[in-house]
Amino acid sequence: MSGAKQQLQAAWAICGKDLRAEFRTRYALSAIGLFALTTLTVVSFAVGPLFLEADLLSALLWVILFFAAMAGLSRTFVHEEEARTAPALRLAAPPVAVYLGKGLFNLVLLLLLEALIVPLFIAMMGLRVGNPGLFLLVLLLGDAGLAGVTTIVAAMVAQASARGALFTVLSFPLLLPLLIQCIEGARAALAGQSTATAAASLGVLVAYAVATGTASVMLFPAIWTEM
Amino acid sequence: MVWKRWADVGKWVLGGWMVAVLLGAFLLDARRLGTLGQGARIIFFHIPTAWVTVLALAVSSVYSIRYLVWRGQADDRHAVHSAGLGILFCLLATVTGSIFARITWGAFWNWDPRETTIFVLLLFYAAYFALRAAVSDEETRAALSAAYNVLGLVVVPFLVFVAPRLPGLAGLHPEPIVNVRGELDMDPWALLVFLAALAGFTGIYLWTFHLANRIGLAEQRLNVLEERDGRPVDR
Amino acid sequence: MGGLLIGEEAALYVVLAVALVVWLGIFAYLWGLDRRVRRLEKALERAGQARDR
Repeated sequence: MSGAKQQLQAAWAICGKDLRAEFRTRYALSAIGLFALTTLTVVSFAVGPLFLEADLLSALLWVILFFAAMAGLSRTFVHEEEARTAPALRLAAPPVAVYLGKGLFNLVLLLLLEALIVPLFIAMMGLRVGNPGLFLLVLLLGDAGLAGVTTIVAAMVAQASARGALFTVLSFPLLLPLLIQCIEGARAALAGQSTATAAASLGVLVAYAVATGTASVMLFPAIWTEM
Repeated sequence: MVWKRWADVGKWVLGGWMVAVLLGAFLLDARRLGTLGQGARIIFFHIPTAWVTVLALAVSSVYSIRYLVWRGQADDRHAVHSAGLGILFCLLATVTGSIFARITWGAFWNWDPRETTIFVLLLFYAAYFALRAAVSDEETRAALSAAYNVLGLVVVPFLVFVAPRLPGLAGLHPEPIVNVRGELDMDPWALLVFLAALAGFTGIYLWTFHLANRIGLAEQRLNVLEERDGRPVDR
Repeated sequence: MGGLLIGEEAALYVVLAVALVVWLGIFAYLWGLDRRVRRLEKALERAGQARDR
């Protein structure tokens, strides 16, 4: 269907535009990168020579990722409002394309963040990853859910005041089930559980991403065209 | 109107009904509730308030969806009123649940799945009202909060059905609700008081919700009149 | 419960009494609200009709 293809192309274009802008200024990347690095350093320092179980370590990793996400993923929409480019964007592309494009952008940000933080985390905390494939899968699927939800919440927050705090306040209740599942999945991966056994966990991650993603795609037009 | 008379009768009945429920809850022999002692009586308040929380939030979500479809201002009002009641009963349920947890398992809070769920609901609706407070334009406020409400609706099943199945979380101790309702071998008199409490609290919610909506509608009508006449009405 | 000042049974009646008072208070408040809204609705009816005439 040409309508869908056009939408996807528009989404791709929006994502590309945001990425290009991002590589020029590196604003969001530095924000989340520095935040994550700082948190990681503090955690590593605080833990010191103590030996931590896989359970706790997987929780710590996702806490760092989550808070880094809170620090940087609202930029994609807030920036549009601040730079007054939002009305132009509304005219230029259909709402769903905007959501998909920005969602993809946030996903890329998350992946880049993890490429930096996860190896560092493993090295600094002396982690042994039992099942790397599963570990990676949990990261990816968790990112999908994270990106989907934070993008639509960012769009909401951009139209409100008190944006920074509001973004975290709104995101957290929605993301908690995802967080719980990601920590559980990471724990299983660190402990070396086979991917087959963890299939139920992965299934939940997929279900979450699909459910929230679908709901977001349906709800996005209602909140985006609101001005 | 005839049904208004009946509604009045119903309200007085509710008043007396709850008196009876209270009497039953406190005068019933505590041994009928198991071996937990007098504190077990809190179950007559904890489960009904938790139930009303869920009811109120479900109703709120329905009105939010209606708003998104038809953009009727009344729907937005109804959603907010129900959410307000929801958060109130959620607070009551959380506190009574915490007390119940202390009595049954010795700690006020355990992060067990059901406790986590009710806590997240509390956070969610606090966030809902924070969102509403942060938006000044009426229509934007209504649309954003309605969308957020629906997102919450989508996420709740993951809390309710998934979290309890996780190996890491559950397994600390059995959930009270599953125990009492799943087995349903409650003492018949206790069951009677319990069901009566359930109905009573539901009645309180319905009456308060209806009242809130009437007040909202009246205020709306006053606004319309003020605009028509061009001068403020003495409220 | 109880044990220090009054016995367990007496404490129970105290809590019951408190609960009854709280409920009656809430009920009275809701009833008062109900009546006030009723009056408001009637006044609105009259005002609306007066304008429409």
